[in-house]
Amino acid sequence: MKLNDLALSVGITAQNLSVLKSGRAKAIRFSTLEAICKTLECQPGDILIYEVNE
Amino acid sequence: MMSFMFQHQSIPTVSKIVRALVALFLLMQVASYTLLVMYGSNVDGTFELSEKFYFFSSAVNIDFSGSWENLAQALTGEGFNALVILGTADLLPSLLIYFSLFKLFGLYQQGLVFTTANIQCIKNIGTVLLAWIALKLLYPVVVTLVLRFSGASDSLAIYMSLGSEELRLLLIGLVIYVIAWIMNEATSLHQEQELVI
Repeated sequence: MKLNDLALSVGITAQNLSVLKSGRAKAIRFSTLEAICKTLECQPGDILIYEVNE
Repeated sequence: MMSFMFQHQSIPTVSKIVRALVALFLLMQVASYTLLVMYGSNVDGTFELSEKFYFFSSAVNIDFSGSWENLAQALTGEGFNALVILGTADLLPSLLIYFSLFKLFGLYQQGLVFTTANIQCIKNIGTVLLAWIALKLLYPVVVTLVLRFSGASDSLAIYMSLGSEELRLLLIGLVIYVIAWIMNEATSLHQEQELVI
């Protein structure tokens, strides 16, 4: 699935999806997370990981 | 929510009207000043248009106060064109404020509300108002010193005064600075909000 198609089915702009992908986002709405999980048929834990900030 | 959406969408329309009004006031001020320089005369400290422009004379005039009024009278008495010397300096801050307002409402018209350019415009207005106080206090002194030292006049006195007008400018200037500071906070919040996806 291309980024543009994912953005379209999640209901956010490709620009915002790029912000999420690059890790520049300050926060993610539950509605966005739900839409991504629904589209990709996955769990939040599959797309979110915790990294220690050195 | 509906009313907020309506208000938000109408910002560009209202800004367009305000911008047009600012441009109109700017043009009127420049036009009235030009007319006064060309056809005006000093009547008891107030610069008015001569009888040839009777229709305008009640509306178009420049009335200096405090040290500016004293210096205007003294300059006219010595044969100088007080309106050109003092009026130009008095006109400049107004033009700068009109220009900043024109620019600010141009940004609002484009839908740009929370940007650093908006804050800069608001700050500029505050700075002009505070600089206006310094101009009001020091300009008559500078004019007198220049004319005295250049030999153009040997009897002009130094006039300096601080009145309620200067205090009003100080208050408005400081309030505008505080508004710029609050807008800066709002812009930070807006930028953070833009990174919530």
